[in-house]
Amino acid sequence: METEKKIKKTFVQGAISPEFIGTSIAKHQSKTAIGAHNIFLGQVRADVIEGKKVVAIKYSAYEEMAELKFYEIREAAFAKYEVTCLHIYHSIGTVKTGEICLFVFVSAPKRKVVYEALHFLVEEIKASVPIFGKEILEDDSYTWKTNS
Amino acid sequence: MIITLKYFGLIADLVNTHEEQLELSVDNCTSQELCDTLQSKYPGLVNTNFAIAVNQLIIQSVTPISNNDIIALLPPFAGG
Repeated sequence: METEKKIKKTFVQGAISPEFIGTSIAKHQSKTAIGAHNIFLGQVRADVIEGKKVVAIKYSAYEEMAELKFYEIREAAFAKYEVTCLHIYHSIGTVKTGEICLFVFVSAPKRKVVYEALHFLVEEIKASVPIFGKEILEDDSYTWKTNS
Repeated sequence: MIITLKYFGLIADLVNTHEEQLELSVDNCTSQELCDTLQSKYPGLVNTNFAIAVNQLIIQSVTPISNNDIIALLPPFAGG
């Protein structure tokens, strides 16, 4: 099976644009061993915290450790699932509510594996990558987000 | 020994810096001893939840700290 295991940079400055996601999908048209794609898009939600609406999240990270973690998570997914390729992009810096901050893209010959692999990847990213989110509120105050 | 400390998110707010070097009068210590030292220096850390990474690996138990180690204090993660 064709596999792709290059080490890639995961962090994207600011929001991940719909155009970037569309282009990424289009790039797979030449990989004709693939029969199924699955995509997760994380979007910044306008939570209300103590009566104030979240307008953006400013992401920061322990970048060296985070890239190492992303690499380990990718390798674990390739070892565990028969996927053709997978891609992870996460925002760094400010992402406004309604914009995309996480893009995970899994492709395989058959559909069943892409559901499982995608679930594994998203849960691992949320649990083990040192990324921090400052939720900017409408009055310019802020609070630190915690994954539940 | 000299170690580098890195602070992130809420922790960086509490200690008011992102990185510092700390010179300790001992040749080695444990992560617990370092934590006690930091909590005396920064009382805000006492009731704060954080993980510790020694040279980019999160420690699960008391771990020896040596000269030139990079220690990161990591508040709860919020990726995705």
